[in-house]
Amino acid sequence: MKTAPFRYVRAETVEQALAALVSDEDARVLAGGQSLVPIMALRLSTPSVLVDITRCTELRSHGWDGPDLTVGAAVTDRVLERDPEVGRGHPLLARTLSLIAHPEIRARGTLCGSLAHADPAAELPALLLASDGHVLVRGPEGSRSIAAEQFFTGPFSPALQPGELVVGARVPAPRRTSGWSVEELSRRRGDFAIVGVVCVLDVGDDDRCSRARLSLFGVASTPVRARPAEQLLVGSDLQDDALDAAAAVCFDGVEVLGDEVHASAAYRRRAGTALVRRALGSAARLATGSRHD
Amino acid sequence: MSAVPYLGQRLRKSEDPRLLMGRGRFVDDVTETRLAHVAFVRSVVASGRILHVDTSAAEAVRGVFAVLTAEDLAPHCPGWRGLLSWPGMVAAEQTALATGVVRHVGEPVVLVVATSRAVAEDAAEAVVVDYEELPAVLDPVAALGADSPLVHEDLGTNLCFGSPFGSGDVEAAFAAADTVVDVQVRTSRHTAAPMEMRGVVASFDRDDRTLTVRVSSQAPQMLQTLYAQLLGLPENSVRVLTEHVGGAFGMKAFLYPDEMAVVVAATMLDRPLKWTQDRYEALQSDTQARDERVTASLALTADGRICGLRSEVVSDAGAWSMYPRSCVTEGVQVATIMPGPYRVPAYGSTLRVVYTNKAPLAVYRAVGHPPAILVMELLMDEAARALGLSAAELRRRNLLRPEDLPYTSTTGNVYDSGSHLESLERAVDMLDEERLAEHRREAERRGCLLGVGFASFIELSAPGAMFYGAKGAPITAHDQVEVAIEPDGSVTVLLGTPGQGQGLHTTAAQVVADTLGVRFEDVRVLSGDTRLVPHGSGVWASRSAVVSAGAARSAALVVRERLLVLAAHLFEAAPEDLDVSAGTIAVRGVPAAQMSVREVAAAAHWGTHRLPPDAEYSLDAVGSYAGPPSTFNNGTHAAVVEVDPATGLVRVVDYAVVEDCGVLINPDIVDGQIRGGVAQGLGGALLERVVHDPAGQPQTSTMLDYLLPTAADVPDIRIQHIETPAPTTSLGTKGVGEAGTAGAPAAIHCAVNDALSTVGARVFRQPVLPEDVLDALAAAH
Amino acid sequence: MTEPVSLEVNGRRETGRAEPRMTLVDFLRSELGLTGTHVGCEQGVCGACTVVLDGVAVRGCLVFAVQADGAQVQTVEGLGRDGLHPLQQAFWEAQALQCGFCTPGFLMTAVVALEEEPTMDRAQLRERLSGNLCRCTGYQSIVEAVARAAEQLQPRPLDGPDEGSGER
Repeated sequence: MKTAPFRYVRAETVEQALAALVSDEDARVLAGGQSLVPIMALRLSTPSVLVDITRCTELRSHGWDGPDLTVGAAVTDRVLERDPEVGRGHPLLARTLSLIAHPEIRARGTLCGSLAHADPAAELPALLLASDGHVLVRGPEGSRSIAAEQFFTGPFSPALQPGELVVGARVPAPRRTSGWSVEELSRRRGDFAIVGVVCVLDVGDDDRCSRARLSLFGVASTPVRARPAEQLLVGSDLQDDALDAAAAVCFDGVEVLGDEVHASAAYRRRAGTALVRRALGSAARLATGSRHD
Repeated sequence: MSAVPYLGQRLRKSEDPRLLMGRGRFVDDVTETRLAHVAFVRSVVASGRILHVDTSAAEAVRGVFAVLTAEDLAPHCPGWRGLLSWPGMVAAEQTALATGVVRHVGEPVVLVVATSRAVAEDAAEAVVVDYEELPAVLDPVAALGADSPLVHEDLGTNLCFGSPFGSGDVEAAFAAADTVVDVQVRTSRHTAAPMEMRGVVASFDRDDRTLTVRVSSQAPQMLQTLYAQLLGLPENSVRVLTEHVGGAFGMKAFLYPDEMAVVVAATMLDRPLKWTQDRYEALQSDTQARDERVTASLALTADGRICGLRSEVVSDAGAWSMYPRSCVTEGVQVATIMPGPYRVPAYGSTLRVVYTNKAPLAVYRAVGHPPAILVMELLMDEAARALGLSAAELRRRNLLRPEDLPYTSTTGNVYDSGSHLESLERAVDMLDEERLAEHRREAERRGCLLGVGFASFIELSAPGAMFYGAKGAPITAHDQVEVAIEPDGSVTVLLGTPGQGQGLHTTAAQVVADTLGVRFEDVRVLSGDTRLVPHGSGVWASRSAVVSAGAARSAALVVRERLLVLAAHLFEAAPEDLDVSAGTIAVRGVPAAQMSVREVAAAAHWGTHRLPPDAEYSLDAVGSYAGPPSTFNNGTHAAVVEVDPATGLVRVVDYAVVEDCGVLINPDIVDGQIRGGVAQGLGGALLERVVHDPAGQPQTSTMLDYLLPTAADVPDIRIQHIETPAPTTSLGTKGVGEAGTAGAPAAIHCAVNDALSTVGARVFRQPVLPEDVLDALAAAH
Repeated sequence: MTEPVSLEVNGRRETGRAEPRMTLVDFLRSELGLTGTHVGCEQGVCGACTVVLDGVAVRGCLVFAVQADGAQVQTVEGLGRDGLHPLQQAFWEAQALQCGFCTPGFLMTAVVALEEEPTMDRAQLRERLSGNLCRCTGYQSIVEAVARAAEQLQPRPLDGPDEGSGER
């Protein structure tokens, strides 16, 4: 379908973008458009104004702030993917990006756009959650930084106030001594995940897990941390028995949602448990491997 | 004949360069002066009465020319019925826009004409339709119950057609059998989903009273007839253009109500109108296929010989029997093809085709064969397991051998030629031990189960007039081609039937060049304008290699004969003593006596003073060819799959095809048809299904929900050809366009069950969902 | 309601007008008459609308024409200059097209893919091309064609009058 009509505003600065957003309550931000335009093309979303932020210079950069990668709202997945510094410094992000759709989508799609779109089946929100990352927001009331834990409140429901703009994200990288993995299950390469997991395991000097983050996506109304599993992992030796036990409880307390077309809740649990076990295995091997390097 | 025959050569397709350069002319590529654009308001309920339609807000939208309902169109176009003369078949009258009642989500209700598609859609949103929603009929078995709501009140039943098929004493066969195996199989609703969606540009000249319709269709002359009939125009006033069609696969062989509505509107308004479908509409309103529930049993002796076969087939026809091929063909094929390439002495089948509130079921590549072959091959594998025989061995004991031919099946199909058993042996060889061992190692490394599946089959191709014409449908089975030698010796070929990517231009040029004795490069082929070309059959049921190539040959033979009569006069020799090759005519045995085709053609046009006054000077002839009533190709497919027991995902890791479709005109084109067909079959086996919610709302209306196979899903497909010339066709060819799709769902599914059976599990539903695999594995423990 | 859009397409400056909601592919097709790029789903899934925008392969159905103002676009019409581009030639030889509707999208995807990763093996190629749907060929001949073209092509820019440097 053709989209409903809208006014187009190309913002050169964040101020201009904010002014345009505030001017109309049905204004929406256009960055990559790879998530927004398809739903507009089904007329499921009919914004009155699209505020294009892709030319705002201040939003087009990414860089390192200590262990954290900061990514401006107009930075595309492709730019991040092709930056060798990102590959070296944040291999988990690089790997996660490679799972998203296809290169032609990543060419325009933005990391921050994916966060703001808050699709429960998307990879990047889950990554942010597993990384204890933050979304950087600016609005009429000023700037704020929202923890991933608070940002995803429901399907396609980011915790943004009217007139607020996501200007960037802070995505902490796993430590060199940590293990990590990201796995997803889909019917075809590049499709939305039926179930996916981002896993970060920190290891202490005693070779035991000091911190665990297991973020599930595609299974609930938002990305969700598998806390019972995380708790079992912390303090464990990350050997097979410990990983088996953690995987077995990874869906405890998670309200798993299924659908008629792609997969039932029961399937997501079953296959997801196997997927999580596989992901834990990779992450644990990476962690213990790097400990002994 | 030319020195090296073009027949059998892997020539590049002459159609390709312009498509590669982006200069195709698909319907949406073409504009006209004063063109206006159409969008539809479609039903949002699966079943309902239209209480009220308010078009006033839509009409007021700037840029809108007209907003039309069924009442507006009725005076200009009557309804039609998708009825064939199957005994007892019932079908309701369908109109271009829904009249009073809607019967599936996506049915067109209101047509909006505006300056652009976008504006037309804006206006369409402003149309208000009040429906009284009625309970939707979604289960074809429940639909036969006495209490079921009716899809068509005036029919008094949801049963479209019911019939037994088969012959022989099935009771006795089953009573005498040592082993009986049963299956209950469900194949899911599919849709063709060609990359180019449907579309039409229609314009009506009020002075001439001529109608021109450019349409993405595989049956232009059929549409020419139908437009003329419905609009009360003489056929010589209707012109149908099909320049480039981006895939059809049987789906584009119908009179669609939305397309007809555009055509009717064009006669009412003083502008050319264009409508091209979007994918959402396509996935909701294109004809669909493969929605069958089959219960079947196979009876065998202790040494594995088939005594009898039984099946009950329920085919979910959707809301309409589409005109003119109807919704019955698929179910009939499922029932009649099922015995396959095996010696089956007795077969009894019951078919019921049932209406429901879904988009109509019609014909889609391999029509009915995939479910039929699937059921039979699943039965064979169950029997093999029960008898302790390998899948290949059981087939070996039952496949038709050359000495069995001609063989008349229990459903009246005559198999006069083929390599049924040989195709199996070759397929087995293509999966050699070393290869399989490597696959096993890989599977083990990945923690997956490995399965191998075979599917042996026959496939109906190029059925004749008995199929449709004799049943009352205005569908031509024979084809016509015109061949003309121009004054300069170049050759023009006009194809009655245009293609949608099968390389019909190229194969026709190969046949004409061989038959006429000219060079392939000197032959230009045109198609796609009913005003210019002879009346053709359209593309359907894999007929082109038989009837289109046959017609090209017939026409070329006539022209060749005339050419040689004229040349003989110029040589002062006898026509029988002349040969034509590569554009040169020579007297056999007299090397010096040579003349170019060009010279003779010039004489036939301007130099007739050199020719006898009563000679036939015209080097332009139309040939036709009907072929035999039908011809059957045969083949065996072999699939190797990995099944991941943790996730239920299935991957096809190897695929081999042995195909016998008689003589091959262009092996590369045939290979392309087979590979494309296998990919579609793979889609059906593992990915594709149309899903409705309990209210009849389609849930698969985007390409992220209706899953087509991608390059990562389809493996390399190895192909071996056996060329057993067809004894009954003029070139020895048989059709093959659908064969890949016919065998693939069975081969893949049998491979999955082979993998699962190692742990005592099976699945009997397609597509094979990961969930079904996990359920089967859990049930087996 | 319409705005001016000015961009360079296949090396030529082109201007037109577009409502903000007009996608790049619709603009190319209806305003500039470049109908080689096709519309297959309007969801970014099928890849038939793939064009090259500022050197990168993108979905023409998910970019609004106004967003491409000032950009450089390459479409299938700009692929071959004097005759067929090696990719087009390879597609022809390998019979990597049947109906031809998906072909321009595959060509533009492939030309960029081969620039970025000139030495992919067949398995990598299959994956790289898995974002473009074809309903006719079963993909094998397409993968074959791209693999053959890769062998022939040195990493080289898309043909166009501005790109005389030849070096990447």
